[in-house]
This record gives sequence, structure tokens and C-alpha cells, in this order.
Amino acid sequence: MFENLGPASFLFYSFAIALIYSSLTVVFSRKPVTAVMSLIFSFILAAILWIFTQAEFLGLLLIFVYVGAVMTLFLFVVMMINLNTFPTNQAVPWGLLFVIIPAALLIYAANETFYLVFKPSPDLVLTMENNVQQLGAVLYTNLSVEFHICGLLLLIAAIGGVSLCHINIQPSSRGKRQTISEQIDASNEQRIQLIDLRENDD
Amino acid sequence: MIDIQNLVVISMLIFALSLIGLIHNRGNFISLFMCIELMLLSINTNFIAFSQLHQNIHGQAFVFFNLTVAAAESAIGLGLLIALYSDNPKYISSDTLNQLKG
Repeated sequence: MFENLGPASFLFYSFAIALIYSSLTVVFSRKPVTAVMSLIFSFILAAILWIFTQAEFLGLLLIFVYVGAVMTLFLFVVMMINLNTFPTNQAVPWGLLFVIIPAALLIYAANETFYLVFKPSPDLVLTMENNVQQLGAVLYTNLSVEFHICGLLLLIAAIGGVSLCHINIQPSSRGKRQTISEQIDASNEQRIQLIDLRENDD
Repeated sequence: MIDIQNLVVISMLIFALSLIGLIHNRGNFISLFMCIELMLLSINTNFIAFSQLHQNIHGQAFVFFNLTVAAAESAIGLGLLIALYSDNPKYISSDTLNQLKG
């Protein structure tokens, strides 16, 4: 793995080790703000790794859009709800056993048998000059329907976020709540009002 | 140059780590949410690695769509988090999610 370690591979492995360290911090940190900050850091490092593999547009998109908008929103929400520490779970996590074995299998499959399954293309240097140009040429022609569906999805997510956070300003209720006694007490006369249209004809 | 196999191994490591985190922090809504974000990041890395390996730009286009889905998911999840907080500011856990119905 470490033969012919040039400067580019040295940088790549440094960023990869930093990425794994920061994602370890995300998973095992007890402080929410620390976890979110290291999540942001691991997104930036992953974007750097994407740029290393010549996906420049997506790497910059991840930094600008995802880190700049979504992760900042996440950080604001976590700061707003003002948790000091996560509650610790005391029990022995037996479920970890059922996860570590498939995880080790995944890593083994990616590490040992990779080139037995996947044959690399003969020319491993990308032929086009411009990553953005090629991505746009696919995205605006073949995948234009899916592109529009993405816009619809974002609209629906915005509506869903607003309707989840919308709070009824009422003296006795926090948020939208179900009042079961009122639902049981409801009768047909309260629900449906029948209007006779024939009387209004003359 | 960069070996694609190393990128796949790194992304699988992060996927396994976030899978372990999903089990380890399962009572904790914020931490579960961050583990899902990390998992999406690792599969996006995997898509980019195989897009480079097979010289096919459709993998990167799929990563674009994945980023859209991840943004929508985090918007909905943060909305749920705010709703949980406004329901009970003292105790935010995935055990109390069933109090949000209605």
C-alpha cells in the first residue's frame, strides 16, 4: 500500500487519516458542538479527497453548498437547543457485535479482493479537460427529468421543514397536538353541515 | 497517482464507523442524525471512486442527486429536532419521538 509514496500520495494519506480521525470524533464524542464541528471538518476533508480523484465540481459543491449551508444550519440548531453533553448509555452495547462483523467484512472485501472483481479501465486518466462541462452535459440532457425532480424534492423538504417547525400560538398548547378527548366527543352534527340547495332556488 | 482502491477502503471504513455509531448512539437523536450524514458522505465517496474507476460520469451525476436528497433529509431531520425541542426542552431523545404524533 505504501510503495512509491510521492508527495501527492503523502498528502492523500494525511487527509485520509485526518478524515478517519474526525469521523471517529463524530461518532464517539460526548459533546454535541464538538461532534458537529468535526462533522464539518470531515466533510471538508472528504471534499479534498474528491478533488484528489478529479471530481473537482462535486468537491467544491460539497464545501460551498453542503458545508456552507446545511452544516451551518445543523450547527445553529445544535447550539440553539443548548445541550451540554449527550446522555451516556451505560448498558453494554451488544448490538455492536452484530455490526462489527459486517463492517469488517466490508473493509476486507474492499481491501483484498478489489481488483479481482473490478477491472480498471485501460486509460485511468480522465479524457475530458473539464469536469464541470462533462457533468453538465449529462445533467442537462439525459438526466434532465431527474434534475427537475431534485428541485421538487427540495421544495417539498422546505414545506415539510416549515410545517414541522410551525407552532400554534395558543396559551395552553406547545405545538400541534392531538387532543384525544375532543376527538372522541366529536359527533356527526359537529362535522357535517347539510345545506339544502333546493330552498335557495326560488 | 491515487489508487482508487485506497479511496474505496477509506469510504468503507467511514461507512463501518458510522454503522457502529448508529448502534452505539441509538438513543441519541442528534448523534444518529450525524451518523446518517457521515454514511451518506461515505457512499458518495464510493460513487466518485467507482465513477473514476469505470470512467463514467453518471456516478458523479448520482452524487449530485444524493447531495440533494441529503440536504432534504437534513432539513426534515432538523425540523423534527426543533419539534422535539419545543415539545420537551429538557429531554431530547429518540424514545420520545412518539409524542409528536397528531
